[in-house]
Amino acid sequence: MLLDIRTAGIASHAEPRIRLLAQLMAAFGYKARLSPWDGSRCDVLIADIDSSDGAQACEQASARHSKVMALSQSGDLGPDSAYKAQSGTPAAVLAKALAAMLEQSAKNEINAALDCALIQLATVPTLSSGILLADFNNCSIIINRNTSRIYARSQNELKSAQRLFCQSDVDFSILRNTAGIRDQFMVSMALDAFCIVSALAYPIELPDLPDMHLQLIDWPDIGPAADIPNIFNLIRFFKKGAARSNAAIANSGVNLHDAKAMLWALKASGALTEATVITAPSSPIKEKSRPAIEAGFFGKLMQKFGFPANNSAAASA
Amino acid sequence: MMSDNIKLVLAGPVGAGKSTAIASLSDTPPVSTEMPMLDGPMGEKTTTTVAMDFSMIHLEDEAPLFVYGLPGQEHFSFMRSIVLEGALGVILLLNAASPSLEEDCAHWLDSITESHPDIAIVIGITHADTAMDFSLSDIRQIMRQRKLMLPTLTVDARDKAQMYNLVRALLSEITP
Repeated sequence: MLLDIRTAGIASHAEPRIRLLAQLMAAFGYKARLSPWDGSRCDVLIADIDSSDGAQACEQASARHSKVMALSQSGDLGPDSAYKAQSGTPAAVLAKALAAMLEQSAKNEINAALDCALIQLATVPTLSSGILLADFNNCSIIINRNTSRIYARSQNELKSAQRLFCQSDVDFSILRNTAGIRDQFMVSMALDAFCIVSALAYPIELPDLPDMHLQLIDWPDIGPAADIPNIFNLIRFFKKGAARSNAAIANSGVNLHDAKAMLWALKASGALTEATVITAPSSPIKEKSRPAIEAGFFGKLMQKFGFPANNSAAASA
Repeated sequence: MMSDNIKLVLAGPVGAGKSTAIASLSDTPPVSTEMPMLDGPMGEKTTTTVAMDFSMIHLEDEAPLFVYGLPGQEHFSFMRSIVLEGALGVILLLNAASPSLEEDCAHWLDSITESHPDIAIVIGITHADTAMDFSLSDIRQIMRQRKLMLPTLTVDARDKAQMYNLVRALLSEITP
């Protein structure tokens, strides 16, 4: 994941340490970009607040709720919300603290957004199996994880639920079975496609995904979501094995907001699950060998079927 | 493989929507061998393919991608390995409303992989929106038993965009 770090008031002898810190963020899945503070929006400000420039930048960044790492000789100066450390703290310690700060911030955002159905579905363990009734203000849907399908009373209600899925309060209830109401919910759709279309409609509203090891459990059913060629990049990335979410966002070739939305969606649908232990699969998935097709012809195929240009290039390599 | 004889094959049981899917994918009207069903209509379906469907998709510079649809009946099973030879990949279409969905899936997967173990396969499941008992998990389970993770997409065979999505899934499987 890209990380926009700004610095202010850092003494020249301390700059190499901050550059090293930025490089070390790669170990936590971040691709950090370092530049001087210019007052514009950024992910993190690192400031030496013993200097007037640093103190001023720190004040401005805190006022707009940006994350701040405040360095000082005493190590205890700076706003309440900032991470405070001594100026001479080693880069590795600062990098670890910064990663923890980003992780905590993502969790806070999730908690703030927890009313949204998609995030609840992705994060609340009791909602990760069985049959659920999701009740919005004016419509409801059944989410059946046993069949990987969504059911609604009508197409209109399905579309409404899709619109509300990343935006509105929802009441979930767990159903033991669908007897009694099943006949009312006769319109259905793939759970994976439903979550992806819904998430991609509001990618900016979704919180950052905490960096975690994710594993592709099933090839997601994106059949009805026919206009999202980028999703194939993400699926191919995870088909190679479990990976960190930040690495997927940085390396799958999908733009930040869309990648984040798709990861949330696939986590919510259950196609991606958190991998606690990363090991080689005991029974590896059989990989298909590529037919011996001329590269140029393969490029034409990719173009005809609407893959983005970067995919065509990769395919013809 | 020469690029002037590359083909895409659609396979699957009778009533899965292969002929409809080929018509959706094709840039030229398909050559079809539809005949009335000897055992009477199957739902709204009154005809069936007795030899094969054939059509073309035009790529850039009019380069053709040939599209073949295998007949679904078992007495034409001898044709499968012949038509599959040298194919880019297979789109296996299954009917979610069929009472034999799981058996059809297992049978066709085994049949294809037995003769062509390395061929790329994607599964398209039609009529999922009307089959209220359909469970994708059952199909995924069949694949897990075979140590496969194939793209499995519910599709409307009449919808060109959804059929293109299936081909994209196939291409993503064989892209290095």
